[in-house]
Amino acid sequence: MRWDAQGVVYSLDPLVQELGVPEWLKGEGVPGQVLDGGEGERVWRAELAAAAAAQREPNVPWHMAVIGCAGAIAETGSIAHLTAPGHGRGGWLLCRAQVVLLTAEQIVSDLDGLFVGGGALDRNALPRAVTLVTGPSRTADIEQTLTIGVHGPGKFAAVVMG
Amino acid sequence: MPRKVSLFVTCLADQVMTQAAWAAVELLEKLGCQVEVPMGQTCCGQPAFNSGYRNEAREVARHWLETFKHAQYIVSPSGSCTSMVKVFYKDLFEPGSPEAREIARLAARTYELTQFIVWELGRTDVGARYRGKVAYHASCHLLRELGERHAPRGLLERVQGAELVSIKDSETVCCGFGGTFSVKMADLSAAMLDEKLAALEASGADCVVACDAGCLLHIGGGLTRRGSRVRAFHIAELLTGRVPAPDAHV
Amino acid sequence: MSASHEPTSHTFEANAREALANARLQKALGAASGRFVSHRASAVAERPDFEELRRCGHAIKQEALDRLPQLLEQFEEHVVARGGRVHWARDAEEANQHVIRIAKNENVKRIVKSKSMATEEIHLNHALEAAGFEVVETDLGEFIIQLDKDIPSHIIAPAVHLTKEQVSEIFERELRETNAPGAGIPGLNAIARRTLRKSFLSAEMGISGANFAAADSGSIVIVENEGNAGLCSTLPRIHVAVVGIEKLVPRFDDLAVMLKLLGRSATGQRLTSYTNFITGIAGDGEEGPEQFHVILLDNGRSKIYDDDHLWGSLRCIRCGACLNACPVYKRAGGHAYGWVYQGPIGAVITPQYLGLERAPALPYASSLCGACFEVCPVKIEIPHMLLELRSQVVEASTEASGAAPKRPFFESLSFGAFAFLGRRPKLWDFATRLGRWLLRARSSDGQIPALSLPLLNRWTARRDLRAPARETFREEWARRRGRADAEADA
Ligand code: SF4
Repeated sequence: MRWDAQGVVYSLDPLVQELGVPEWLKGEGVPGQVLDGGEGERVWRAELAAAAAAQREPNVPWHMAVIGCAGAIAETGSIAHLTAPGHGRGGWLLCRAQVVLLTAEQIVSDLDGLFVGGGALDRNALPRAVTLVTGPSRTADIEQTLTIGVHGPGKFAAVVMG
Repeated sequence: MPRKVSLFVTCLADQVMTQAAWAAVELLEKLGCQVEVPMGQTCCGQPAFNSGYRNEAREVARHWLETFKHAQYIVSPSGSCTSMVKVFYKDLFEPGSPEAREIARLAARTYELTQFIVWELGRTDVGARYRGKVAYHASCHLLRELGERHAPRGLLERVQGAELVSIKDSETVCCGFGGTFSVKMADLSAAMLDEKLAALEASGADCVVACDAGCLLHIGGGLTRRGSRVRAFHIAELLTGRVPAPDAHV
Repeated sequence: MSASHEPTSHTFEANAREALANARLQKALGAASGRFVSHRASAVAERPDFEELRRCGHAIKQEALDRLPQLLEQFEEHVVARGGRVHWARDAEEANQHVIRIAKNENVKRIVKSKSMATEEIHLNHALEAAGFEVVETDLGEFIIQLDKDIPSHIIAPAVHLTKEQVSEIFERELRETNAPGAGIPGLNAIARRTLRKSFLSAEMGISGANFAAADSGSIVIVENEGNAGLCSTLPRIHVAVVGIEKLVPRFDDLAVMLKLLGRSATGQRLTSYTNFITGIAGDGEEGPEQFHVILLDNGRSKIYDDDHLWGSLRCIRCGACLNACPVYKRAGGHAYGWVYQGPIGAVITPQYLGLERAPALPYASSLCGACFEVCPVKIEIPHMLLELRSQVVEASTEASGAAPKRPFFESLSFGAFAFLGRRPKLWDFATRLGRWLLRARSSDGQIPALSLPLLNRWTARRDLRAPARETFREEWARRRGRADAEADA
């Protein structure tokens, strides 16, 4: 898979750390930014905003998000993202591409499996936002014709780590 | 003991599609039933009910209940009129009222013709023959209010020599009749009919059969207006050999 | 493009005729309905337990209605416990005022919106613009509609009535996107993305609706495919959700069933691209808005709640499946229904929201084929409800107050006669003999090609009418079998 990302944002997820994403980016000289709502992310957002205001969005460098998740559903191919410190949501929603890292143990067979105690949709432990992501951003609002990547990431990949 | 069937002719079959009613009688008698026709029957009240005239429908419904009160089995060649009795009559009377009890009693013994033959008499092969291609139009009330998908097809599949062809979206698209809908919203109704007729002609069938006089009046009227070679018949007409083979027709 | 947003439900028949004559619209509608229907069918076929799911969906929503007052209070408690606020709105005016007040207090200038039928219903955009705020719809379909000053024509596909050429024209005209013509659908999407990005990144307030609200957690759920609802509920510092009171489900865990039903019924997806579960405000160090406001909207819902025959229509989860399945919607298109809710469910609820006298034709806009009920994920008995409404139309027309329009004289006369004759077999036979004789006189070859009688002329305009029999079946029966019958009776 080659998406030619020219900048990568990532969450403070154990899998992301384990994989050494931040160090690797540094080594390759690719700009990287953690989604922790800190100064760095603010600057990155401001750049995006400036580019958008100048209507340059299609030309700005690709941004890719690498995040972890709190669970995944086999039947639907969905991942569950929970907001938490270091796990922002706006950051990856603004990217062109999204890679989600997970382990096989995180996968449940269908939606019901996330609603159990300790699951991503445990009623007693809900964060501000749980997002079930199922594939890339899409729309069929014009002539019912499917088009990918309207507001959110147009590319989506879930990587199951061995 | 032969089953004693009271034929609920329906006003449309009585006044316009008499052949369908005769075919139903012939079929029932052939299958060993004893058929009687309550002479005082008029209409089930559906036209008034569907137009919102419940008081009027209620009076006619009471008459229907009176007419058929002694029946052992009530069988009708029309799915829509059957559903009026079995499904909609109860909307006309207070739950627990004497009428409501009477409806429950009679509705349980009321059948659409093909349902009666297949589910009550347990027959699908009625010894029918037809040399040609037949399309089955699933009329909405039989299909959805009475939930019947199998009985008519079961009977048609066993017609010797007949090839059952399918109509595009036959189970999802209404012919546009809808009783008074066909005149109240005549343009919409006609647009729906056009789609059904086009699908029928594309199916390659030389005749279309249904279990509902209303749909047949509508589809049949559309076909003759188009000068189509497809002809519309009641299913009982086909099952009793009343439908001439396509080559004989020209 | 009607700039006026006054309901036009009272002219349904004329609206529909216009739609039928519009070839471009017919093409758009035909193609869309075909796609929707086949996508849904394959998604449903994947779940052998779909009927069971429907039963559960029905039960969950019905329980929510049964316990609604209590559940609403419970919901409020949980929202508040999580740092949110709940505002109760009896009608559109109150709801709009709540939003305007919040926006003014918080010094808001720019607002982004994600798709919400409830906000369409109360004309929130109008109210906000009139109060001086900049409001931008961010769902692609809604964005197109907003630019064109049009109104949505489908619950879940607002711009389904437009072709891509029309969308190009709108973008060129309203956004000065000279490249829009010829951009193709992906190109048009890119223009929308680029234009709206600016709005997302600068808005102080995001407004959304909700597909569901869970009483026991204070959560709302927003189901979407584009990512705009996620952005609206994340980036701006204030999030306002306008939620109809019927959106409640008793338990958060009920959402598992509801979501399985919604995606499949609406677009034929197992789950949509993004399902957002929103609970309260952001915690320390967590990304999300500082303020979360829920506007609980009544706006006529409690009136429906009080109607024993029609309150089940409040179970609706606005999936749009009944629209796609409806052969009348497919021809008439959404605008013909004249208000924000279209198709079969629109025909049921519009007369209740606007009053029967402002939508008297809608309950008749159906052949009662039942396709709507068959696909409805929460089993709303739409045909029965349409029949109930028809009876209310007739009843209202005979009321002395005279508020409701009278039924056509010919119609009430006919049904009066029908009832009179229908229980007098001898007179019935006499009258129908007369009728048959009159009709037969106009027939040739067993068909009647044209009639100038009221109503029947509309039939014969497009179809032949089969001539009635000379002798009724019963007469013939009596003649041929009379003796046998007499014997049997004896
Ligand atoms: S009535 Fe049923 S099918 Fe129609 S939109 Fe509502 S939930 Fe969906």
